[in-house]
Amino acid sequence: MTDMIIQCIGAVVAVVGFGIVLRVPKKFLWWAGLDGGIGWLVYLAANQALDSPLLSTFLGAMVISAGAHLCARKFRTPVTMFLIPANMTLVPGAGMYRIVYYILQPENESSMYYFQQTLQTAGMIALAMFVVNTALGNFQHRKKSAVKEGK
Amino acid sequence: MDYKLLFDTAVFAGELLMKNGAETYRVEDTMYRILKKSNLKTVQVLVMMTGFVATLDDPSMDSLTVVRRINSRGTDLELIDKVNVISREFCSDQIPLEVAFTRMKTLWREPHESKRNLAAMAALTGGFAVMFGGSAADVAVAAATGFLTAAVLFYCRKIHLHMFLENMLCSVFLAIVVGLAVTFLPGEYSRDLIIISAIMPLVPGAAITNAVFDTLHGDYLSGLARAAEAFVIAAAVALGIGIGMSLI
Repeated sequence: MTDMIIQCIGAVVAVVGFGIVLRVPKKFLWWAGLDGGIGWLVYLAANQALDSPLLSTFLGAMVISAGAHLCARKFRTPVTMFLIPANMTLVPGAGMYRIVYYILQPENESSMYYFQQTLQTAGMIALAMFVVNTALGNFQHRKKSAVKEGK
Repeated sequence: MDYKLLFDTAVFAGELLMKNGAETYRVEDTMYRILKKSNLKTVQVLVMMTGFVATLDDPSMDSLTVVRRINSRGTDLELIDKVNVISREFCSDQIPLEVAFTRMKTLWREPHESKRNLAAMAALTGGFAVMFGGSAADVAVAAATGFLTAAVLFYCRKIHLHMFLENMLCSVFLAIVVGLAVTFLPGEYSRDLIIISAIMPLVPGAAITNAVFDTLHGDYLSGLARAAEAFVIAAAVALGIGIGMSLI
């Protein structure tokens, strides 16, 4: 449990660092960090309970997306402001490294396994974003078309 | 209303947004809303990842059309936020067109500083090392590698190296630094964990996120283009890590 919390604090620091590199405005930095930290906590907890990295990634990405949307509504700013840095916690960088590592070994079967897993992880993040976006985005869409029609 | 000025404002906004990593949908929406303030009959905006076309037409005047090719793409979310604020204030009639145009132009000329990034990169890679459950020694090496890689990365950006080469060189460099540190520094290290943390700044997370957004909003061309961009970057990083690791 302590390990989990320390790891989440690491996630917050990492996301804030990423936010600075991507030049997220200062007032949003810690919100993005918090979003990423909570997402990683959900990922870790889900992975412990379900023992399925893919499903845990999906759940973590859902929480991150929902948090980013809430922040974007609150501060009236693009969602990407929070979503791009926070998503980095779940993006499969480790998979990329393992693919190369096993190609060099050379163990092609392990390499193929990680190739598949990396694509699946990226797909899971995309699916979670789709679900949250369409669930939360619908009523925003209505508002937007009202502006366009001038009603 | 001065349509030419309105058009220039919209084009400035579009170009700023595209060059700094906004989703295609946001660029299209922002330009459309600004141009719609003219109340002319035809307003059309078509944005793709590599450029955009916008046109303004009415029976009472000659049509205006602009094509812009976008060559360079980076990520500067602060600029996106600023453009967003200006366009929102203009579209809700809080500021007149002249003010919106001047502010857009100032943003355009504003120099982009990247000094605080070095320390941020160290915090980033160190943070990821903690996040992946590394020991204190792992975290220290990861942070130091992040700092050094950032220096190389910013030098590559300064001399305008091609994106592929830039990512590859940085990964070669970081793989060598980590390899040397793990071999020659006293103590136990987890090399995998340090390399995974250190490549995080190079991993195409922004491209992946934007690819998903573009696909979601039906901008399939831009979505695929961004996915291709993500693949190219990932391949460059993977190749670089491979070269660096086989050198050590």
